[in-house]
Amino acid sequence: MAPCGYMSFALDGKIVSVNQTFLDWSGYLEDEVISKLHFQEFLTVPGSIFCETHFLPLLQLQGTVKAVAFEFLCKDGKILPVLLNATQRTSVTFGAPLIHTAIFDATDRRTYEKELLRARKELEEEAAHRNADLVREVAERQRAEESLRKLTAKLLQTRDDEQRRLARALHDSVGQLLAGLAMNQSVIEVEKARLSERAQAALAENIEITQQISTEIRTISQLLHPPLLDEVGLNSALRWYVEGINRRGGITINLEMSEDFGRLPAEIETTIFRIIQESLTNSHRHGKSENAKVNLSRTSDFIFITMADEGIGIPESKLEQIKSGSGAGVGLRGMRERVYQLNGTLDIASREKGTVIHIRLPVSAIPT
Amino acid sequence: MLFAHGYGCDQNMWRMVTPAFQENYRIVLFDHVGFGNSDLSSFDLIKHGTLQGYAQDVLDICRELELAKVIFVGHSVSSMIGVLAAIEAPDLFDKLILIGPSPRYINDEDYVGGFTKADIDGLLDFLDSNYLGWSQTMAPVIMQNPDRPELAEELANSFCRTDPEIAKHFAKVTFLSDNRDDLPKLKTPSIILQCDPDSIAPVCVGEYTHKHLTNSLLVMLNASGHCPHLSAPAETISAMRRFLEGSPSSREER
Repeated sequence: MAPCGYMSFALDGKIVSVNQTFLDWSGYLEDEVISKLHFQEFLTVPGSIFCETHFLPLLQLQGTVKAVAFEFLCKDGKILPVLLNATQRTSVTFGAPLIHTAIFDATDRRTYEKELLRARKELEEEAAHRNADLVREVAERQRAEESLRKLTAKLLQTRDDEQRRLARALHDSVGQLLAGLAMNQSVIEVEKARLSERAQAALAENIEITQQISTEIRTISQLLHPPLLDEVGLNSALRWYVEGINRRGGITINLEMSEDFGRLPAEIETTIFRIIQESLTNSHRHGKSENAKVNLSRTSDFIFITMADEGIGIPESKLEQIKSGSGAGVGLRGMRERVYQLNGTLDIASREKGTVIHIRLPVSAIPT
Repeated sequence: MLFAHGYGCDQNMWRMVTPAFQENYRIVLFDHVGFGNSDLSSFDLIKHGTLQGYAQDVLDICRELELAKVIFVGHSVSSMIGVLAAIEAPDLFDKLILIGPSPRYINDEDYVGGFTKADIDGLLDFLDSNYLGWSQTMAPVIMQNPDRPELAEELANSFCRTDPEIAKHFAKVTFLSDNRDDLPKLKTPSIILQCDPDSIAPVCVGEYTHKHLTNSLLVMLNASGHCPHLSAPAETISAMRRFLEGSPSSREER
């Protein structure tokens, strides 16, 4: 018996001849097939659509088509997966073109193909799942970072507010009490002749202590929140702050800032003041620098702040951590966050001869 | 004359028909995106998610080539694409020749399209397992020679090459489309060439289309199947000629 099925049919599909192998596979008798059935009648609906749209047009264009997959409907309703080669030739005996097909039983092959398809789909689904997991993880991480940033910003804001409140409280209540104390002391001083020598000495000491307390309180309150910042602005507040440091000694600061720098919203001025304050504290405390330079300038688009010291610099390992945003100290992290909140950029360059920090704040981010 | 191939093939399917017209007409052939030598990068999942998107491509071709008084020849789904294009820009078109059109392939209440929804779902699975789909996506893997694509190329057919994924998408768009409501909107004169039997677009669908398409002729061909321009080019050509020359045979016209 032939190893494959043969079937010939006319252009309209009407079957002209079949071999015994095909009859055995399909379960039909020769009489039931020849001139009675059409090729298309052996096909499932999807198969017949494919036959009309792909198989027959291709056959008519090329004269031959190889290895097309179909599912044949057998007489008992079973489905036989086949591979089919077809050639179209004009038959002398038939007097018209005939389509000759060789049909191969593709049951095993189709099983493998289905398994392959299933495995591929499974793989694709798994890849899609992993991808989705990754996307989710990244999103979660971004959310966490964002909330950390918000928290830091909130923290900085809270600290600014708290310090402003404390400074005011010190100035208003403690300052007033001290003023009262000083007034009383001057009343006593008028009549100090009536006091013993010992009491007179104690009074003189009290007056001096009161003055010291008053000076200390004013300094602390001004460092907590320079009152000048709110009243006369960043320019005067920075000059006052720098003069204070220069007077106390330890580090000499050269401030470059044009007189017509102008005012900015209170929040921004506080931020800039805090950044400079933080940076100078670092220069002095960690950098052991004796000199530092602060330069502020603005164009129509940006505010530029440059701070340079002549200290020992930041160790490279620490610098890497700072640049990657991890493990920076609270001070630098705070600076970075303050800059980030204003959509600005912060660059640090550090060598053994000192550290330079460049900050750029876009003016557009500043609320008017 | 602008020829639009149907689902499953490319512009090669017109090769037996176009020589008969090239003396008297300018012949314009094209491949739908995803078929033949089309530029696959112009495929847009959203635009080409409806037949309107393909109709837009037809209009783009007309405008790019500055075509006027177009005789549109569409096979199968491209018939409906032509109808949609001519509704959108009636001034561009002179006549439509529709070979085996169907405004809807799936049966619906009192409408017979020839297929059920399950049949069409089955087709999409079937396409997955077929040679034409396999040959281009799977052949390089089977050949174990991905750096020699020509080996895979030899396995594939030289005609009607398709991008399997786009072809599947086109099959879905085609067989799930419903353009019955669009038929009455067409003003351009048209002719429907109908085979008997045609298992993709049965005679009753051709009659339905003719009934709802104003200013249309229905011509029954002796040919059977869905591609008379391939299986019976002479008969197809003469039916087209009679329509274009304005002397339809009274025997065939209904």
